[in-house]
Amino acid sequence: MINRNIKINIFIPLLIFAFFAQITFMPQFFQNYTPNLILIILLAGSIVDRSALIFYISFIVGFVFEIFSDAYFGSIIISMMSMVFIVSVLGALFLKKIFSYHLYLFSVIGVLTYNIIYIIWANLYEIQKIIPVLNQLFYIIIVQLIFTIIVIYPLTYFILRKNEE
Amino acid sequence: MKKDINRKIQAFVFLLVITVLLTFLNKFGYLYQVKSFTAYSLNSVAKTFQGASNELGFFIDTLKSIDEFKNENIKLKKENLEMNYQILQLEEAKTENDILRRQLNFSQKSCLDEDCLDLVMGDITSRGPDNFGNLVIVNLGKTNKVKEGYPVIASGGILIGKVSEVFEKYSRITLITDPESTVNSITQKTRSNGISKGSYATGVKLEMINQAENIIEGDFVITSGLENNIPKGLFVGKISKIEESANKIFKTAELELFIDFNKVEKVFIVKND
Repeated sequence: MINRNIKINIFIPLLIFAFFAQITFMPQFFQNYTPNLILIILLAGSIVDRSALIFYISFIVGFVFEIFSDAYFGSIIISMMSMVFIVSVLGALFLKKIFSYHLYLFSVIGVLTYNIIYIIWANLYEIQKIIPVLNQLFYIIIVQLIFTIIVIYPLTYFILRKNEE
Repeated sequence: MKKDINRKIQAFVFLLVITVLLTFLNKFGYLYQVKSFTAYSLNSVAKTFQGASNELGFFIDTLKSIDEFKNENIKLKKENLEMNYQILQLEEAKTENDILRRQLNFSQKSCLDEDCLDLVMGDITSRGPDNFGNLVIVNLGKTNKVKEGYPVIASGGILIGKVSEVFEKYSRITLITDPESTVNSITQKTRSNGISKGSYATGVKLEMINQAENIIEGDFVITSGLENNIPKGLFVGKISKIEESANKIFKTAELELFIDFNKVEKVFIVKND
C-alpha cells in the first residue's frame, strides 16, 4: 500500500527539473513521439494528493507550458486540469487505499483524458484536420501510455511522504 | 471524503474560470508582457539545459557512430573530390551567367546563395514540449528587428521554419514539420510547383502538385519565392516517395529533410521584407 501525501520539497523541484527537461532534452532524444514528463508527474501527484494543491500546481505548470507550445492558448491548462480533476475525484470516490495496480489503471485514465481533451480543444475550430492523422495520434497516446506505466510506480513512491498516513 | 471532493470541485471551477479569462486576455494581446517576461526568465535557465542537452546528444551520437567513422571518412573524401569538381563547374557557370547578364543588361540580383540575404544569427534555447506542434524558441526578438513571417534557415540555406510570434528578446519559430506550416515550393529539376506542408510526426510532404506535372524521386525541393518574405531557392527537402492515384486531382510527395531539426543549435533569421 502507498501513503497519500505529496512531499512538496521533492515534488516541486522534480516538477521544475522535468519542465526544463521537457523543453530541452526530451524533444531532442525522443524525436517523433515525445513523452510528456510533466503529465506523468502531475498524474502521480493527483493520484496521491488529497488536497486541492495539485490543481493550483497543474494550473501554473500548464500556463508556463503554454508559452512554449504553439497550440491554442488554454488547451494545455484545460487538459492538465481536467486530467488532474478526473483522476483526483475518481481516486477520492473509489479508493480508500491505493495499491500498485491502481496506479496503472489511473495512468490509462489520466493519459487518455489529457490527450483526448487536448486534441479536441487544440483543434476546436478545425476538428476535421485531425481525422487523417488519427493513426499518428494513436501512436502518440500509446507511447505516452507505455512511458507513463513504466515511470509511474517508482515516481509515485518517490514523491510520497513515507511515514505519514 | 465529501469535503475533499467539494474542495477539489471548487478549486477546479475557480481555475477553469481563470483559464477562460486568460484565454480571452491572450486573444486580445493583454498577456503579451506576462508571457514575454516569463519566457525571458525561463529561457536563461532553459539555455543552460539546452547546452547540456546538445553536448549529451553530441556525445551519444559520437559513441553511436564510432564504427562508422572509417567508412564515412572514405566516403567523404570521395564526395569531396566530386564536390570540388562541381564547384569548379558552378563557378564556371556563374562567370558565364554574369557575362550573359551584363550583355543583356539584366541587373536583378539572384538570391540563391546566402551572401545577399540579410541574416541574423541566434541560438535555439528551447523546444516545443509536446507532440502536437513543432516549435522552437530562439533568442532573437523585436530588439533584433525580427518580424512575424520571416523565414528561419540553418546553415547551408536549409529552411527550417517561419517566425510565428515575436517578443522583445525571443521569438517562437514554427518548424516546417508543423501541420499548420505551409511553404510555396518548387522542385529543382522538373520545376513542378507545390506546397510543402508539415504533417504530424512524419515530417514534410509536397502537396498540391498537378497530376500533369512530372516529379522524380531524389529531386530537391526549394522555396519558389512566390510567398511574401520567403526568398527563392532555400532548400526544403528531397523527394523520397511519390504518392499518386488516378482518383486524386493532385499528386503528393514525401520529403526527406536535409538535417535533423532536433539537433540544430544555431539558426539564421532571414530579414526579408
